[in-house]
Amino acid sequence: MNPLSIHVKQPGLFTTIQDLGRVGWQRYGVPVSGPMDIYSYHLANLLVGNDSHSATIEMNLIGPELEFETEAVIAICGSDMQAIGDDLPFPLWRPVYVPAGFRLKFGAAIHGRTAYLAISGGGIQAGSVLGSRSTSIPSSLSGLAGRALLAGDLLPLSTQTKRWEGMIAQWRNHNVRKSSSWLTPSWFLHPLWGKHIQSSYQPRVIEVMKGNEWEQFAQQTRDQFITGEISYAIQPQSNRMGFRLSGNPILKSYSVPMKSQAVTYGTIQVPPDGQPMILMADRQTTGGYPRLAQVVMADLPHLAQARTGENIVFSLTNLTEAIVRWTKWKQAFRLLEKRLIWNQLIPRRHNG
Amino acid sequence: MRKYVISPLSEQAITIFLKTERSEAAQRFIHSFIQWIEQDHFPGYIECVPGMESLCIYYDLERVSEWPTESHPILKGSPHDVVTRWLTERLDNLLHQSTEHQRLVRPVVQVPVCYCSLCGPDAEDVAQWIGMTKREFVRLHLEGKYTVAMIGFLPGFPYLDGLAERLIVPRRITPRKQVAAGSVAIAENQSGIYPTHSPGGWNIIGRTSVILFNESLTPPSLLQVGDQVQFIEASHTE
Repeated sequence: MNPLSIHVKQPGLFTTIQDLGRVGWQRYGVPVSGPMDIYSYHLANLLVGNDSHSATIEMNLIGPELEFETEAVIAICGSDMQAIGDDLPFPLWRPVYVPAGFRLKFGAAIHGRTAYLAISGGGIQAGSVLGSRSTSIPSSLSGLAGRALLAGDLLPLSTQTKRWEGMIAQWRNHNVRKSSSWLTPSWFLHPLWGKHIQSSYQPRVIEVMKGNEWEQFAQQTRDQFITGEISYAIQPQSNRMGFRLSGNPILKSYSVPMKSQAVTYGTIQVPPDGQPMILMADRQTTGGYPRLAQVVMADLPHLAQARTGENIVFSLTNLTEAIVRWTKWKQAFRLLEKRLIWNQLIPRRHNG
Repeated sequence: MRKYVISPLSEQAITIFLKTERSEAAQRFIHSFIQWIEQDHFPGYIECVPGMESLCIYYDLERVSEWPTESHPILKGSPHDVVTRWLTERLDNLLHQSTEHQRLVRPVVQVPVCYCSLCGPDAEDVAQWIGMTKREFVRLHLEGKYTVAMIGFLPGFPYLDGLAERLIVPRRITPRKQVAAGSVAIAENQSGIYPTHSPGGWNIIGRTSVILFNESLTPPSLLQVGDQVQFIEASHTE
Protein backbone atom coordinates (compact mmCIF):
# COMPACT_ATOMS: atom_id res chain seq x y z
CA MET A 1 0.00 0.00 0.00
CA ASN A 2 1.48 3.34 -1.04
CA PRO A 3 2.00 5.25 2.22
CA LEU A 4 1.11 8.63 0.72
CA SER A 5 -2.32 7.96 -0.67
CA ILE A 6 -6.04 7.71 -0.14
CA HIS A 7 -7.51 4.26 -0.49
CA VAL A 8 -11.00 4.23 -2.00
CA LYS A 9 -13.08 1.71 -0.04
CA GLN A 10 -16.38 2.59 -1.71
CA PRO A 11 -16.56 4.91 -4.72
CA GLY A 12 -19.91 6.61 -4.09
CA LEU A 13 -22.33 7.30 -6.91
CA PHE A 14 -20.18 9.32 -9.28
CA THR A 15 -16.90 10.52 -7.85
CA THR A 16 -14.15 11.98 -10.04
CA ILE A 17 -10.87 13.87 -9.72
CA GLN A 18 -11.30 17.50 -10.77
CA ASP A 19 -8.87 20.38 -10.87
CA LEU A 20 -9.58 23.77 -12.41
CA GLY A 21 -9.96 22.29 -15.89
CA ARG A 22 -8.12 21.43 -19.08
CA VAL A 23 -7.60 24.63 -21.04
CA GLY A 24 -5.68 25.29 -24.21
CA TRP A 25 -6.78 22.27 -26.28
CA GLN A 26 -10.39 23.03 -27.10
CA ARG A 27 -9.64 23.57 -30.79
CA TYR A 28 -8.68 19.89 -30.92
CA GLY A 29 -12.05 18.98 -29.44
CA VAL A 30 -10.69 18.40 -25.94
CA PRO A 31 -13.31 19.41 -23.33
CA VAL A 32 -12.40 21.61 -20.37
CA SER A 33 -14.23 19.61 -17.66
CA GLY A 34 -13.28 20.84 -14.17
CA PRO A 35 -15.55 21.55 -11.18
CA MET A 36 -19.31 21.87 -11.49
CA ASP A 37 -19.43 24.19 -8.47
CA ILE A 38 -16.40 26.44 -8.67
CA TYR A 39 -17.19 28.30 -5.45
CA SER A 40 -17.02 25.16 -3.32
CA TYR A 41 -13.97 23.94 -5.24
CA HIS A 42 -12.01 27.17 -4.64
CA LEU A 43 -13.02 27.37 -0.97
CA ALA A 44 -11.98 23.78 -0.26
CA ASN A 45 -8.52 24.34 -1.78
CA LEU A 46 -8.15 27.64 0.07
CA LEU A 47 -8.92 26.02 3.41
CA VAL A 48 -6.10 23.49 2.99
CA GLY A 49 -3.59 26.04 1.74
CA ASN A 50 -3.47 24.66 -1.81
CA ASP A 51 -2.98 26.68 -4.96
CA SER A 52 -6.06 27.36 -7.03
CA HIS A 53 -5.42 24.56 -9.55
CA SER A 54 -5.08 21.64 -7.14
CA ALA A 55 -6.94 18.44 -7.91
CA THR A 56 -9.79 17.64 -5.55
CA ILE A 57 -12.21 14.76 -5.20
CA GLU A 58 -15.58 15.82 -6.58
CA MET A 59 -18.49 13.78 -5.28
CA ASN A 60 -22.05 13.73 -6.56
CA LEU A 61 -25.25 12.84 -4.69
CA ILE A 62 -23.73 9.92 -2.77
CA GLY A 63 -20.16 10.29 -1.56
CA PRO A 64 -17.38 7.72 -1.23
CA GLU A 65 -15.78 5.93 1.67
CA LEU A 66 -12.10 6.75 1.93
CA GLU A 67 -9.19 5.58 4.03
CA PHE A 68 -6.27 7.93 4.52
CA GLU A 69 -3.02 5.96 4.42
CA THR A 70 -1.24 9.05 5.72
CA GLU A 71 -2.09 11.99 7.98
CA ALA A 72 -3.43 15.01 6.14
CA VAL A 73 -5.20 18.32 6.48
CA ILE A 74 -8.41 18.14 4.49
CA ALA A 75 -11.46 20.29 3.88
CA ILE A 76 -14.91 19.52 2.53
CA CYS A 77 -17.00 22.25 0.93
CA GLY A 78 -20.27 21.98 -0.92
CA SER A 79 -23.33 19.89 -0.40
CA ASP A 80 -23.63 18.22 3.01
CA MET A 81 -23.32 14.48 2.36
CA GLN A 82 -23.47 13.49 6.02
CA ALA A 83 -19.80 12.63 6.35
CA ILE A 84 -18.98 10.34 9.28
CA GLY A 85 -15.63 9.67 10.91
CA ASP A 86 -15.05 7.76 14.15
CA ASP A 87 -18.84 7.25 14.19
CA LEU A 88 -19.32 11.00 14.57
CA PRO A 89 -20.55 13.68 12.13
CA PHE A 90 -17.49 15.04 10.33
CA PRO A 91 -17.26 18.85 10.01
CA LEU A 92 -17.41 20.80 6.74
CA TRP A 93 -16.29 24.29 5.69
CA ARG A 94 -13.07 24.24 7.75
CA PRO A 95 -9.64 22.58 7.61
CA VAL A 96 -9.47 19.33 9.58
CA TYR A 97 -6.44 17.31 10.55
CA VAL A 98 -6.93 13.56 10.12
CA PRO A 99 -4.41 10.96 11.34
CA ALA A 100 -2.98 8.10 9.29
CA GLY A 101 -5.49 5.27 9.01
CA PHE A 102 -8.49 7.59 9.31
CA ARG A 103 -11.69 6.41 7.62
CA LEU A 104 -14.14 8.94 6.24
CA LYS A 105 -17.52 7.76 5.05
CA PHE A 106 -19.97 9.92 3.10
CA GLY A 107 -23.67 9.29 2.69
CA ALA A 108 -26.32 10.93 0.55
CA ALA A 109 -26.53 14.66 -0.10
CA ILE A 110 -29.11 16.41 2.04
CA HIS A 111 -29.33 19.49 -0.18
CA GLY A 112 -27.56 20.18 -3.42
CA ARG A 113 -25.68 17.58 -5.42
CA THR A 114 -21.92 18.22 -5.38
CA ALA A 115 -19.16 18.53 -2.80
CA TYR A 116 -15.37 18.79 -2.93
CA LEU A 117 -12.74 17.18 -0.75
CA ALA A 118 -9.42 19.02 -0.88
CA ILE A 119 -6.22 17.62 0.61
CA SER A 120 -3.23 19.69 1.67
CA GLY A 121 0.05 19.35 -0.20
CA GLY A 122 -1.42 20.17 -3.60
CA GLY A 123 -4.26 17.67 -3.73
CA ILE A 124 -4.42 14.44 -5.73
CA GLN A 125 -1.20 13.85 -7.64
CA ALA A 126 -2.37 11.39 -10.27
CA GLY A 127 -3.32 11.48 -13.92
CA SER A 128 -2.18 14.73 -15.50
CA VAL A 129 -3.09 14.80 -19.19
CA LEU A 130 -2.63 17.84 -21.43
CA GLY A 131 -1.85 19.97 -18.40
CA SER A 132 -4.77 19.01 -16.19
CA ARG A 133 -5.83 16.27 -13.79
CA SER A 134 -9.52 16.85 -14.42
CA THR A 135 -11.39 13.73 -15.42
CA SER A 136 -13.27 14.09 -18.68
CA ILE A 137 -15.61 11.13 -18.57
CA PRO A 138 -17.10 11.54 -22.07
CA SER A 139 -13.57 11.65 -23.55
CA SER A 140 -12.10 9.10 -21.12
CA LEU A 141 -9.35 11.54 -20.29
CA SER A 142 -7.20 11.71 -17.23
CA GLY A 143 -8.12 11.84 -13.61
CA LEU A 144 -7.97 8.17 -12.88
CA ALA A 145 -7.69 6.56 -16.33
CA GLY A 146 -10.54 8.73 -17.54
CA ARG A 147 -13.20 7.16 -15.36
CA ALA A 148 -15.02 7.68 -12.09
CA LEU A 149 -13.50 6.22 -8.93
CA LEU A 150 -13.85 2.51 -8.20
CA ALA A 151 -13.39 0.57 -4.98
CA GLY A 152 -9.73 -0.29 -4.59
CA ASP A 153 -8.40 2.85 -6.28
CA LEU A 154 -5.36 4.47 -4.70
CA LEU A 155 -5.19 8.24 -5.01
CA PRO A 156 -1.60 9.50 -4.66
CA LEU A 157 -0.89 12.49 -2.44
CA SER A 158 2.27 14.45 -1.65
CA THR A 159 3.74 15.37 1.73
CA GLN A 160 1.24 17.44 3.48
CA THR A 161 1.31 18.71 6.94
CA LYS A 162 4.65 20.38 7.53
CA ARG A 163 3.31 23.88 6.94
CA TRP A 164 0.47 23.17 9.29
CA GLU A 165 2.52 22.17 12.32
CA GLY A 166 1.86 25.40 14.23
CA MET A 167 -1.85 25.31 13.53
CA ILE A 168 -2.20 21.64 14.36
CA ALA A 169 -0.57 22.25 17.72
CA GLN A 170 -3.15 24.94 18.43
CA TRP A 171 -5.97 22.71 17.29
CA ARG A 172 -4.84 20.01 19.74
CA ASN A 173 -5.53 22.45 22.59
CA HIS A 174 -8.94 23.24 21.21
CA ASN A 175 -9.84 19.56 20.76
CA VAL A 176 -8.66 18.32 24.16
CA ARG A 177 -12.10 17.25 25.37
CA LYS A 178 -13.21 15.62 22.10
CA SER A 179 -13.32 11.89 21.56
CA SER A 180 -12.71 11.94 17.82
CA SER A 181 -9.26 11.31 16.35
CA TRP A 182 -9.46 14.35 14.11
CA LEU A 183 -8.58 17.93 15.02
CA THR A 184 -10.45 21.08 13.97
CA PRO A 185 -9.72 24.76 14.52
CA SER A 186 -12.12 26.79 16.60
CA TRP A 187 -13.33 28.62 13.49
CA PHE A 188 -15.12 27.72 10.29
CA LEU A 189 -16.35 29.55 7.19
CA HIS A 190 -19.47 31.63 7.53
CA PRO A 191 -22.55 29.76 6.19
CA LEU A 192 -23.06 32.50 3.61
CA TRP A 193 -20.18 31.01 1.64
CA GLY A 194 -22.43 28.01 1.01
CA LYS A 195 -25.66 29.88 0.37
CA HIS A 196 -25.67 28.83 -3.29
CA ILE A 197 -26.06 25.16 -2.38
CA GLN A 198 -29.71 25.16 -1.52
CA SER A 199 -32.29 27.60 -2.66
CA SER A 200 -33.62 29.84 0.08
CA TYR A 201 -36.89 29.79 -1.79
CA GLN A 202 -38.14 27.69 -4.64
CA PRO A 203 -37.64 27.85 -7.51
CA ARG A 204 -33.94 28.74 -7.99
CA VAL A 205 -33.46 32.02 -9.79
CA ILE A 206 -30.67 31.86 -12.34
CA GLU A 207 -29.45 34.98 -14.13
CA VAL A 208 -28.71 34.74 -17.84
CA MET A 209 -27.48 36.93 -20.68
CA LYS A 210 -28.97 36.81 -24.16
CA GLY A 211 -27.44 34.14 -26.35
CA ASN A 212 -26.28 34.66 -29.89
CA GLU A 213 -29.48 33.26 -31.44
CA TRP A 214 -31.80 34.97 -28.93
CA GLU A 215 -33.53 36.97 -31.68
CA GLN A 216 -34.40 33.82 -33.62
CA PHE A 217 -36.81 32.69 -30.92
CA ALA A 218 -40.45 33.77 -30.75
CA GLN A 219 -40.89 36.88 -28.62
CA GLN A 220 -43.61 35.40 -26.44
CA THR A 221 -41.64 32.32 -25.45
CA ARG A 222 -38.55 34.46 -24.91
CA ASP A 223 -40.39 36.80 -22.60
CA GLN A 224 -41.89 33.92 -20.67
CA PHE A 225 -38.45 32.41 -20.33
CA ILE A 226 -37.08 35.41 -18.47
CA THR A 227 -40.00 36.91 -16.58
CA GLY A 228 -40.15 34.04 -14.15
CA GLU A 229 -43.67 33.09 -15.17
CA ILE A 230 -42.53 29.76 -16.44
CA SER A 231 -40.28 27.50 -14.43
CA TYR A 232 -38.25 24.64 -15.81
CA ALA A 233 -37.68 21.35 -14.04
CA ILE A 234 -34.33 19.57 -14.00
CA GLN A 235 -34.75 16.19 -15.69
CA PRO A 236 -33.29 12.90 -14.38
CA GLN A 237 -30.89 12.49 -17.30
CA SER A 238 -29.05 15.64 -16.22
CA ASN A 239 -25.38 15.11 -15.46
CA ARG A 240 -21.94 16.71 -15.70
CA MET A 241 -22.33 17.07 -19.48
CA GLY A 242 -25.58 18.96 -19.39
CA PHE A 243 -28.76 19.66 -17.51
CA ARG A 244 -31.90 18.85 -19.48
CA LEU A 245 -34.85 21.01 -18.58
CA SER A 246 -38.52 20.45 -19.17
CA GLY A 247 -41.16 23.13 -19.34
CA ASN A 248 -42.85 25.37 -21.84
CA PRO A 249 -41.22 24.70 -25.20
CA ILE A 250 -39.18 27.59 -26.55
CA LEU A 251 -40.13 28.10 -30.16
CA LYS A 252 -38.19 29.51 -33.06
CA SER A 253 -39.88 32.32 -34.88
CA TYR A 254 -37.78 31.61 -37.93
CA SER A 255 -35.44 28.88 -38.97
CA VAL A 256 -31.87 29.51 -39.97
CA PRO A 257 -29.45 26.66 -40.62
CA MET A 258 -27.30 26.51 -37.55
CA LYS A 259 -23.53 26.43 -37.99
CA SER A 260 -21.46 24.50 -35.47
CA GLN A 261 -19.60 26.86 -33.19
CA ALA A 262 -17.96 27.09 -29.78
CA VAL A 263 -20.07 26.67 -26.69
CA THR A 264 -19.10 26.96 -23.03
CA TYR A 265 -20.18 26.10 -19.47
CA GLY A 266 -23.65 27.61 -19.00
CA THR A 267 -24.63 27.88 -22.66
CA ILE A 268 -28.37 27.23 -22.99
CA GLN A 269 -29.13 25.45 -26.25
CA VAL A 270 -32.58 24.70 -27.59
CA PRO A 271 -32.91 21.56 -29.72
CA PRO A 272 -35.85 21.13 -32.13
CA ASP A 273 -38.17 19.81 -29.38
CA GLY A 274 -38.02 23.20 -27.67
CA GLN A 275 -36.81 21.86 -24.33
CA PRO A 276 -33.74 23.82 -23.23
CA MET A 277 -30.46 22.11 -22.39
CA ILE A 278 -27.79 23.81 -20.30
CA LEU A 279 -24.24 22.74 -21.09
CA MET A 280 -22.25 21.95 -17.97
CA ALA A 281 -18.66 21.11 -17.01
CA ASP A 282 -18.13 18.07 -19.29
CA ARG A 283 -19.77 19.67 -22.36
CA GLN A 284 -18.37 19.18 -25.84
CA THR A 285 -16.35 22.06 -27.21
CA THR A 286 -18.72 22.95 -30.04
CA GLY A 287 -22.45 22.69 -30.55
CA GLY A 288 -24.93 22.86 -33.37
CA TYR A 289 -28.14 23.93 -31.67
CA PRO A 290 -29.30 27.55 -31.44
CA ARG A 291 -28.18 29.28 -28.26
CA LEU A 292 -30.96 31.05 -26.43
CA ALA A 293 -29.04 32.37 -23.45
CA GLN A 294 -25.90 32.07 -21.35
CA VAL A 295 -25.95 31.48 -17.59
CA VAL A 296 -23.80 34.09 -15.82
CA MET A 297 -20.62 32.73 -14.22
CA ALA A 298 -21.71 33.94 -10.80
CA ASP A 299 -24.79 31.67 -10.91
CA LEU A 300 -23.20 28.52 -12.33
CA PRO A 301 -22.48 27.11 -8.83
CA HIS A 302 -26.10 27.77 -7.79
CA LEU A 303 -27.32 26.02 -10.94
CA ALA A 304 -24.87 23.14 -10.56
CA GLN A 305 -26.27 22.34 -7.12
CA ALA A 306 -29.86 22.01 -8.38
CA ARG A 307 -31.19 18.47 -8.14
CA THR A 308 -33.46 16.43 -10.36
CA GLY A 309 -37.02 17.63 -10.01
CA GLU A 310 -36.05 21.08 -8.75
CA ASN A 311 -37.47 24.07 -10.58
CA ILE A 312 -35.48 26.89 -12.11
CA VAL A 313 -36.62 30.30 -13.29
CA PHE A 314 -34.47 32.58 -15.36
CA SER A 315 -33.90 36.29 -15.02
CA LEU A 316 -32.34 38.45 -17.72
CA THR A 317 -29.25 40.52 -17.08
CA ASN A 318 -26.45 41.89 -19.22
CA LEU A 319 -22.73 41.30 -19.66
CA THR A 320 -21.68 44.28 -17.54
CA GLU A 321 -23.78 43.24 -14.55
CA ALA A 322 -22.63 39.65 -14.96
CA ILE A 323 -18.99 40.73 -14.77
CA VAL A 324 -19.75 42.87 -11.71
CA ARG A 325 -21.33 39.90 -9.89
CA TRP A 326 -18.43 37.56 -10.67
CA THR A 327 -15.85 40.19 -9.72
CA LYS A 328 -17.62 40.77 -6.40
CA TRP A 329 -17.33 37.12 -5.48
CA LYS A 330 -13.67 37.01 -6.52
CA GLN A 331 -12.92 40.08 -4.43
CA ALA A 332 -14.70 38.66 -1.39
CA PHE A 333 -12.74 35.43 -1.87
CA ARG A 334 -9.41 37.27 -2.06
CA LEU A 335 -10.29 39.21 1.08
CA LEU A 336 -11.15 35.97 2.87
CA GLU A 337 -7.82 34.52 1.79
CA LYS A 338 -5.93 37.57 3.08
CA ARG A 339 -7.72 37.43 6.43
CA LEU A 340 -7.10 33.73 6.93
CA ILE A 341 -3.40 34.05 6.10
CA TRP A 342 -2.90 37.31 8.07
CA ASN A 343 -4.41 35.75 11.15
CA GLN A 344 -2.28 32.64 10.62
CA LEU A 345 -5.32 30.44 10.41
CA ILE A 346 -4.03 28.84 7.21
CA PRO A 347 -0.49 28.80 5.85
CA ARG A 348 0.43 31.04 2.95
CA ARG A 349 -0.62 29.39 -0.33
CA HIS A 350 1.95 28.08 -2.80
CA ASN A 351 0.76 30.44 -5.49
CA GLY A 352 -2.37 32.22 -6.62
CA MET B 1 -14.95 42.63 -48.77
CA ARG B 2 -15.69 40.33 -45.91
CA LYS B 3 -17.47 41.68 -42.89
CA TYR B 4 -17.69 40.34 -39.38
CA VAL B 5 -19.60 40.70 -36.14
CA ILE B 6 -18.05 40.30 -32.71
CA SER B 7 -20.34 39.10 -29.95
CA PRO B 8 -19.75 37.79 -26.43
CA LEU B 9 -20.31 34.11 -25.69
CA SER B 10 -19.77 34.57 -21.95
CA GLU B 11 -17.93 36.87 -19.54
CA GLN B 12 -14.65 35.38 -20.71
CA ALA B 13 -15.29 34.29 -24.28
CA ILE B 14 -15.97 36.29 -27.39
CA THR B 15 -16.93 35.05 -30.85
CA ILE B 16 -16.03 36.52 -34.24
CA PHE B 17 -18.70 35.71 -36.83
CA LEU B 18 -17.66 36.15 -40.44
CA LYS B 19 -20.38 37.42 -42.73
CA THR B 20 -19.53 36.06 -46.13
CA GLU B 21 -20.87 34.31 -49.17
CA ARG B 22 -17.65 32.42 -49.73
CA SER B 23 -17.55 29.99 -46.84
CA GLU B 24 -14.34 28.20 -47.87
CA ALA B 25 -12.48 31.50 -48.06
CA ALA B 26 -13.92 32.45 -44.69
CA GLN B 27 -12.70 29.20 -43.17
CA ARG B 28 -9.20 29.76 -44.66
CA PHE B 29 -9.16 33.24 -43.13
CA ILE B 30 -10.09 31.77 -39.75
CA HIS B 31 -7.25 29.25 -40.02
CA SER B 32 -4.78 32.03 -40.80
CA PHE B 33 -6.08 34.08 -37.90
CA ILE B 34 -5.64 31.17 -35.51
CA GLN B 35 -2.01 30.71 -36.56
CA TRP B 36 -1.45 34.41 -36.20
CA ILE B 37 -3.13 34.89 -32.79
CA GLU B 38 -1.41 31.83 -31.35
CA GLN B 39 1.91 33.55 -32.13
CA ASP B 40 0.97 37.06 -31.10
CA HIS B 41 -1.82 37.60 -28.63
CA PHE B 42 -3.01 39.94 -25.91
CA PRO B 43 -2.23 39.46 -22.19
CA GLY B 44 -4.87 37.12 -20.81
CA TYR B 45 -5.52 35.26 -24.08
CA ILE B 46 -6.12 31.57 -23.36
CA GLU B 47 -7.15 29.82 -26.57
CA CYS B 48 -9.40 29.98 -29.59
CA VAL B 49 -11.96 27.55 -30.93
CA PRO B 50 -12.96 27.68 -34.59
CA GLY B 51 -16.50 26.96 -35.71
CA MET B 52 -18.09 27.12 -39.14
CA GLU B 53 -17.42 30.69 -40.24
CA SER B 54 -16.77 31.70 -36.64
CA LEU B 55 -13.91 31.83 -34.18
CA CYS B 56 -14.29 31.98 -30.42
CA ILE B 57 -11.55 33.54 -28.29
CA TYR B 58 -11.31 32.55 -24.62
CA TYR B 59 -9.51 34.85 -22.20
CA ASP B 60 -8.81 35.30 -18.50
CA LEU B 61 -11.19 37.97 -17.25
CA GLU B 62 -8.98 39.17 -14.41
CA ARG B 63 -5.87 39.35 -16.57
CA VAL B 64 -7.65 41.40 -19.22
CA SER B 65 -9.12 43.69 -16.53
CA GLU B 66 -5.56 44.45 -15.45
CA TRP B 67 -4.53 46.03 -18.77
CA PRO B 68 -3.11 49.46 -17.97
CA THR B 69 -5.70 52.04 -18.92
CA GLU B 70 -4.00 55.30 -17.89
CA SER B 71 -1.34 55.21 -20.57
CA HIS B 72 -3.64 53.70 -23.18
CA PRO B 73 -6.98 55.50 -23.20
CA ILE B 74 -8.10 53.23 -26.02
CA LEU B 75 -7.98 50.39 -23.53
CA LYS B 76 -10.66 51.90 -21.30
CA GLY B 77 -13.84 49.98 -20.99
CA SER B 78 -15.04 46.56 -19.91
CA PRO B 79 -12.86 43.52 -20.62
CA HIS B 80 -15.23 42.65 -23.46
CA ASP B 81 -14.78 46.13 -24.97
CA VAL B 82 -11.00 46.06 -24.83
CA VAL B 83 -10.76 42.59 -26.34
CA THR B 84 -13.26 43.60 -29.05
CA ARG B 85 -11.17 46.65 -29.95
CA TRP B 86 -7.97 44.61 -30.00
CA LEU B 87 -9.57 42.01 -32.27
CA THR B 88 -11.21 44.62 -34.51
CA GLU B 89 -7.89 46.32 -35.13
CA ARG B 90 -6.18 43.04 -36.05
CA LEU B 91 -9.08 41.77 -38.15
CA ASP B 92 -9.28 44.99 -40.14
CA ASN B 93 -5.51 44.94 -40.74
CA LEU B 94 -5.53 41.32 -41.88
CA LEU B 95 -8.61 41.79 -44.05
CA HIS B 96 -6.93 44.72 -45.81
CA GLN B 97 -3.90 42.69 -46.62
CA SER B 98 -3.73 40.11 -49.39
CA THR B 99 -6.93 38.28 -50.18
CA GLU B 100 -5.16 34.95 -50.00
CA HIS B 101 -3.44 34.67 -46.68
CA GLN B 102 -0.02 33.24 -46.04
CA ARG B 103 -0.44 30.15 -44.02
CA LEU B 104 1.98 27.55 -42.87
CA VAL B 105 0.97 24.73 -45.17
CA ARG B 106 1.38 21.25 -43.76
CA PRO B 107 1.66 18.15 -45.90
CA VAL B 108 -1.59 16.53 -47.03
CA VAL B 109 -2.65 13.84 -44.58
CA GLN B 110 -3.51 10.58 -46.29
CA VAL B 111 -6.21 8.53 -44.59
CA PRO B 112 -6.65 4.93 -45.79
CA VAL B 113 -10.30 3.89 -45.75
CA CYS B 114 -12.01 0.56 -46.20
CA TYR B 115 -15.44 0.99 -47.74
CA CYS B 116 -16.64 -2.59 -47.32
CA SER B 117 -20.13 -3.22 -46.01
CA LEU B 118 -18.84 -4.04 -42.53
CA CYS B 119 -16.82 -0.83 -42.26
CA GLY B 120 -19.29 1.36 -44.09
CA PRO B 121 -22.77 0.02 -43.34
CA ASP B 122 -24.50 3.06 -44.86
CA ALA B 123 -22.48 3.32 -48.08
CA GLU B 124 -24.77 1.12 -50.15
CA ASP B 125 -27.95 2.87 -48.94
CA VAL B 126 -26.54 6.33 -49.44
CA ALA B 127 -25.36 5.48 -52.96
CA GLN B 128 -28.81 4.16 -53.81
CA TRP B 129 -30.49 7.23 -52.31
CA ILE B 130 -28.35 9.48 -54.46
CA GLY B 131 -28.93 7.29 -57.51
CA MET B 132 -25.48 5.89 -58.24
CA THR B 133 -23.64 2.61 -57.80
CA LYS B 134 -21.57 2.07 -54.69
CA ARG B 135 -18.46 2.01 -56.89
CA GLU B 136 -19.24 5.46 -58.29
CA PHE B 137 -20.03 6.72 -54.83
CA VAL B 138 -16.72 5.52 -53.40
CA ARG B 139 -14.84 7.00 -56.35
CA LEU B 140 -16.46 10.38 -55.85
CA HIS B 141 -15.65 10.34 -52.13
CA LEU B 142 -12.01 9.42 -52.85
CA GLU B 143 -11.67 12.19 -55.44
CA GLY B 144 -12.47 14.94 -52.96
CA LYS B 145 -9.88 17.41 -51.71
CA TYR B 146 -10.81 17.87 -48.09
CA THR B 147 -9.85 20.56 -45.59
CA VAL B 148 -10.32 20.40 -41.83
CA ALA B 149 -12.78 23.23 -41.20
CA MET B 150 -12.96 22.70 -37.45
CA ILE B 151 -12.56 20.03 -34.77
CA GLY B 152 -15.27 19.43 -32.20
CA PHE B 153 -17.97 17.07 -30.94
CA LEU B 154 -15.27 14.62 -29.77
CA PRO B 155 -11.53 15.08 -29.18
CA GLY B 156 -9.94 14.89 -32.63
CA PHE B 157 -13.21 14.69 -34.62
CA PRO B 158 -12.58 16.65 -37.85
CA TYR B 159 -15.33 18.41 -39.78
CA LEU B 160 -14.07 18.18 -43.40
CA ASP B 161 -15.08 20.63 -46.09
CA GLY B 162 -14.77 19.62 -49.73
CA LEU B 163 -17.43 16.95 -50.07
CA ALA B 164 -18.69 16.72 -53.65
CA GLU B 165 -22.09 18.36 -54.07
CA ARG B 166 -23.57 15.17 -55.44
CA LEU B 167 -22.76 13.42 -52.17
CA ILE B 168 -24.78 15.77 -49.97
CA VAL B 169 -27.19 13.68 -47.91
CA PRO B 170 -29.00 14.44 -44.68
CA ARG B 171 -28.03 12.96 -41.33
CA ARG B 172 -29.58 9.67 -40.33
CA ILE B 173 -33.11 10.01 -38.98
CA THR B 174 -32.22 7.74 -36.09
CA PRO B 175 -28.68 8.20 -34.81
CA ARG B 176 -26.75 5.03 -33.92
CA LYS B 177 -26.08 4.35 -30.26
CA GLN B 178 -22.57 3.14 -31.11
CA VAL B 179 -20.38 3.97 -34.06
CA ALA B 180 -17.03 2.15 -34.37
CA ALA B 181 -13.81 4.07 -33.75
CA GLY B 182 -12.28 5.17 -37.07
CA SER B 183 -15.64 5.36 -38.82
CA VAL B 184 -15.60 7.69 -41.81
CA ALA B 185 -18.90 9.46 -42.24
CA ILE B 186 -20.78 12.01 -44.32
CA ALA B 187 -23.68 14.28 -43.45
CA GLU B 188 -24.96 17.36 -45.24
CA ASN B 189 -22.01 18.97 -46.97
CA GLN B 190 -19.23 17.58 -44.80
CA SER B 191 -17.27 14.43 -44.17
CA GLY B 192 -16.09 13.43 -40.72
CA ILE B 193 -14.15 10.73 -38.90
CA TYR B 194 -15.06 9.38 -35.46
CA PRO B 195 -11.80 9.08 -33.47
CA THR B 196 -13.40 6.86 -30.84
CA HIS B 197 -16.53 4.81 -30.65
CA SER B 198 -19.45 7.01 -29.75
CA PRO B 199 -23.10 7.62 -30.57
CA GLY B 200 -23.36 9.06 -34.07
CA GLY B 201 -25.95 10.50 -36.40
CA TRP B 202 -23.85 10.71 -39.57
CA ASN B 203 -23.92 8.16 -42.40
CA ILE B 204 -21.08 5.69 -41.95
CA ILE B 205 -19.49 4.94 -45.31
CA GLY B 206 -16.14 3.42 -44.32
CA ARG B 207 -13.55 2.95 -41.61
CA THR B 208 -9.91 3.84 -41.11
CA SER B 209 -7.32 2.39 -38.75
CA VAL B 210 -5.50 5.72 -38.45
CA ILE B 211 -5.32 7.03 -34.88
CA LEU B 212 -6.85 10.48 -34.84
CA PHE B 213 -6.38 11.33 -31.21
CA ASN B 214 -3.68 10.44 -28.69
CA GLU B 215 -3.77 12.34 -25.41
CA SER B 216 -0.10 11.77 -24.67
CA LEU B 217 1.03 13.66 -27.77
CA THR B 218 1.34 17.41 -28.23
CA PRO B 219 -0.80 18.37 -30.01
CA PRO B 220 -2.99 15.38 -29.18
CA SER B 221 -4.85 15.44 -32.47
CA LEU B 222 -3.45 14.09 -35.73
CA LEU B 223 -5.33 16.78 -37.63
CA GLN B 224 -5.39 20.53 -37.09
CA VAL B 225 -7.80 23.06 -38.49
CA GLY B 226 -6.69 24.01 -41.98
CA ASP B 227 -5.06 20.64 -42.73
CA GLN B 228 -5.76 18.98 -46.05
CA VAL B 229 -6.93 15.39 -46.06
CA GLN B 230 -6.95 12.82 -48.84
CA PHE B 231 -8.80 9.52 -48.53
CA ILE B 232 -7.09 6.48 -50.01
CA GLU B 233 -8.88 3.21 -50.63
CA ALA B 234 -7.65 0.38 -48.46
CA SER B 235 -8.54 -3.28 -48.11
CA HIS B 236 -10.22 -4.63 -45.05
CA THR B 237 -7.53 -5.05 -42.39
CA GLU B 238 -8.58 -4.68 -38.80
